[in-house]
Amino acid sequence: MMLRQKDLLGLRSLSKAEIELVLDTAKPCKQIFERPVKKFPTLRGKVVVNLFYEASTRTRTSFELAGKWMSADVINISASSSSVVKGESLADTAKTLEALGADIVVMRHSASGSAHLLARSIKSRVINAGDGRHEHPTQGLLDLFTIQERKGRIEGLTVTIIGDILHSRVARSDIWGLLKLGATVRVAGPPTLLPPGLADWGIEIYHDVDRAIDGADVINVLRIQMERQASGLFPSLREYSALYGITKERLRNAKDDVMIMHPGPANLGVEITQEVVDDPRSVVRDQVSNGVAVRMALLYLMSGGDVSELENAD
Amino acid sequence: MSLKTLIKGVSLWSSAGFIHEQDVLIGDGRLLRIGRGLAETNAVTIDGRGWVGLPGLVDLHSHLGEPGREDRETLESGLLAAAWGGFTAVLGMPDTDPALDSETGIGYVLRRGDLIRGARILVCAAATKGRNGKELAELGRLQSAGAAAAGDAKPIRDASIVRRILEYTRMLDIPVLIEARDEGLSSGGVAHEGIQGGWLGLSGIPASAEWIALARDLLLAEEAGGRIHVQGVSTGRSLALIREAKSRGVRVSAECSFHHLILDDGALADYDTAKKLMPPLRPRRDVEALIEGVKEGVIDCVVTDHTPITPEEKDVEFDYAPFGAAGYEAALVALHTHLVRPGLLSWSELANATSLRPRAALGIEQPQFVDGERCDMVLFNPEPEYTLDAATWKSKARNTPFDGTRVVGRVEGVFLGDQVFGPLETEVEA
Repeated sequence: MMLRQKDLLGLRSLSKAEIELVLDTAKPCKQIFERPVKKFPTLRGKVVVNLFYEASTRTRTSFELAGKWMSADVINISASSSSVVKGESLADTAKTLEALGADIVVMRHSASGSAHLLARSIKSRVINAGDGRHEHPTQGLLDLFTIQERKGRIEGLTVTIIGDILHSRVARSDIWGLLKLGATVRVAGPPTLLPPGLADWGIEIYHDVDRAIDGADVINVLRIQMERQASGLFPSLREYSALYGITKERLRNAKDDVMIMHPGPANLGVEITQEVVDDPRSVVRDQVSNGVAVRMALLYLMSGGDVSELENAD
Repeated sequence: MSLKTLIKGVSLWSSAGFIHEQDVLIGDGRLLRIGRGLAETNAVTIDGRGWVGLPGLVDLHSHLGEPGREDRETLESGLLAAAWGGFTAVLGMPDTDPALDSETGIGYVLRRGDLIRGARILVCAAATKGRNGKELAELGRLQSAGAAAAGDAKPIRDASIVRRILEYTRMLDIPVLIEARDEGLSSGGVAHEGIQGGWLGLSGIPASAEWIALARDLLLAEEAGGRIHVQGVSTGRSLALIREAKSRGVRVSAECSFHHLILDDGALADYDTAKKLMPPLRPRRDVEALIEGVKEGVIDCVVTDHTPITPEEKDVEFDYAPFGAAGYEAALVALHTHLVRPGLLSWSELANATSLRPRAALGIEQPQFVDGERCDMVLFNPEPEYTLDAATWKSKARNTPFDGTRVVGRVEGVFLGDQVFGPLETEVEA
């Protein structure tokens, strides 16, 4: 079994079987954390370019590490959005990377759909590392992996995503992935931070976070961007925090074994408290390590690898 | 002596309906004779059996790059492209650089147009100075200079200015073209605000942005008098507002672009910037309502909203690309492929909306298919099926959502006075 498409642009376009393939492939990859020598030889001679138009520490480092542990040659390019102003278009940059022999280009960009533009501009395979508010498929996959690892399954679970769904690429990827794997998805947030037409997405919508948490197996708390307040979508951070902030107090209504996630970086004390991040029910640190495993799996699958090969490797 | 042209077996459309299997003898820029079984020795004979003959189409909404954006389109390339697409007259918008708010500017465009092989150019004057939305342009002088309409080709925020334009133009009796869009609601948006845009993560332009501005401007027209022409209607609910205004006796006409009659916002899934339009593509229910609106006549005219944009400007992230699609050489073919052929729109409804009613809106005479009349005719062959290739266009622009799609039908020839356009150009003379 392989991934059908040249590129990974979003979870919306992946089948259930493809998502499961990535999760299954990530399992042996994760074992690398236990090894004294963290290196698989599988991507030797392959060139992976991390093209980041938006600042990112977590995702870029995770991809860099994933590439290096798979023995690929990894190149990081931080292209500020100002390069648009300087005159080099994305399509132009893409052609350059292709000419330099990039096998896989991993891109983060502030504009929705930019990964589609990149993918159709070059023959190299493209992994979307977050495009605007559209999708962040590798975050979605690592969230699925983390839930499955801790809960043993995804089907039948109730997962609540809290916060700014409107601007969140993480939420969109999570929602597609969770729905495809059979979870019940709830979202909670103020109406001004929910996308139009959300009622037709096949998910449950809450404005009262306490009710949204009640009975949930997993809570995924999204980062609130400070600039959303400036654009008038909610009145103040303290009001947001009072209505939607996840505190130990609030978790009293939750299931005893509720699992708490956050894609990071968190605004501690705003959407989530330090205490909750450090709680034993929180998997925030696991998400970070799992991110590397999932990205190793993807780089591997997208280079034409087969999962059985990896399981037998030593 | 020049050779005549005899086209055999065409179905000619007029407001009275079709007359089939007509032979048309053309010479000296005129329809010399029309009838069955015509013979002429001194003529190039063309087999036109199965072809449809329509009066030349008139486009009420054209953006031509000249003056100022000749990299996008020149009058020369644009008017030739229009003719090849079946249009014999087009109304140029004033959003040039400088804006068409002076006698000099309008005179320049009209005189240039006269010298160019292609469709006839008509001009919409800027309604306010420099299209600033604040001070009235010298509309009396601009009309004398040849302007056929007035409008800023963008929304005017201040209702009192819209009202003043409508009042003032009562004495000139020219249509006032308005773009109905509340910019407070639309600003920053790049796609229809709905489920598709939500999935794609594209900032939304709500339908209410159109309703609010449209309701405002129709009320102003009712109060102030004047003739209002609503550009770019895109939602089903707008039709109710227009229908109601018409029933109250407001002198209103309305148009929508052919793109909005064919494509819905689901087409944005590939983030192709050729589909980034203003107003944005709307959901399927709106597309269906607009088609009904054209059939009913609430939407008087179907336009191209021809907006040529260079590949360098369009081949960027969806958020950054300019709005608009080039339409001259896609419109008739796409309307035939997607609406006429599947039976959603009749040839009569199409011809009314692209030929008859646009002329009525501008107060220009409708050409007749009678002996001796000056040529103003498009011949359309509804048979050939092929892949549309914008690289073959006469327009400098390539930005069309239909590039690379399968289409059915072709403009074979356009006869405008003694000029011939289209594939027939190399074979015949008018």
